[in-house]
Amino acid sequence: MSRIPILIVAVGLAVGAAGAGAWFAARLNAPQLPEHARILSAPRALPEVPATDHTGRSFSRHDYQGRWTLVFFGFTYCPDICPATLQVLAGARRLLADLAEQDQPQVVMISVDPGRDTPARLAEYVPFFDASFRGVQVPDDYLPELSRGFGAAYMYSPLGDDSYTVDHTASLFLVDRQGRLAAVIPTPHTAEGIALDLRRILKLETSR
Amino acid sequence: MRRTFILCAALLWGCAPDSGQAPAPPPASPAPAVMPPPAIIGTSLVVTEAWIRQVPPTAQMTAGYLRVHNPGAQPVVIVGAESPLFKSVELHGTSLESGVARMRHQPEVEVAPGQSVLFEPGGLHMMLMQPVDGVPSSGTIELSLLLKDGSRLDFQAPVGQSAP
Repeated sequence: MSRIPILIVAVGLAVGAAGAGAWFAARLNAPQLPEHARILSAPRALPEVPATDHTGRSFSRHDYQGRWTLVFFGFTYCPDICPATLQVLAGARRLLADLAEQDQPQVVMISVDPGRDTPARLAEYVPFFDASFRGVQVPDDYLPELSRGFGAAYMYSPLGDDSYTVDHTASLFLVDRQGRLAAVIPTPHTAEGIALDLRRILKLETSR
Repeated sequence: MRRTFILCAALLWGCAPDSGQAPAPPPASPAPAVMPPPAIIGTSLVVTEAWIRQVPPTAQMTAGYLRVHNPGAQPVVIVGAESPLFKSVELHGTSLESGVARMRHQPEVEVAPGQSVLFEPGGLHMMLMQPVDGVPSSGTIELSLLLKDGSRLDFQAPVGQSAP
């Protein structure tokens, strides 16, 4: 018989605690740090190198202005990691579709295989995953400088008798609205994880 | 499912006692009694969860994934794969070391007795290269695993964005 009063007290305490927690959270509105992305202590400027996007237009620092950009180093002769990552990024974009246009991240794949990934080839491949995605070809001579600027690595490795594959950093790089490297997102990637982190980073941005 | 059934049927057929008392044939099998034992006996693998990654139709290659289970008592070694829609199919493994994705040809994959091996994104996969007429962006693709003992295991895999 004495169980019911105890239950009422317990439920009352639980509701009270939850309410107090919600009240504090709302009052403090403390922006949370991203769960997966590692934010650089200071955003890093990126080297300006000649580059062409999949439509044949030149791609420069200006293309980062005003938007957050998720950069992925990949190539189109890549059957496993690259299409998987582009699919995940497309999923993240869909999860963020409710955001204002200028808050939705751009997605750019910089090819680590500029010899085979011409703009025409990138045009056949990259926008397939999401019409807004851009593929970027950086000439061989400048790719090492650009990838070093991001902290990305790539190496060519023979495949069979007459082909090759490219080992490459699979992390994602987040470039801020000023065109500076702001965060690195390590693998494994999920659409939900990327979308969550983007929302948190946007919140951090507005709370500054 | 159908593949599993056929394999089980084949196994049962092969295990039937070789006495004068002929076992009742499986009801669904119209095969004549003189049918030679399928080559698959002794090295059977069960393939499930097979799928092919959807990529742009103009892509030069894609990847295939599956789970292979070895219900037998002997290890089974996969030495390759084939598809009529691709001139070249190889077994590859992706590894991530310090954030760098590396992909290497895998000459063979052994499936231990009673064990399964999972071919999955970011790990082991079939690399489907040189499409005969473009990479199909929908439907199913016919594939075969080639086993070390010379036998082969045919199966089908749907094209999609994730495991079915």
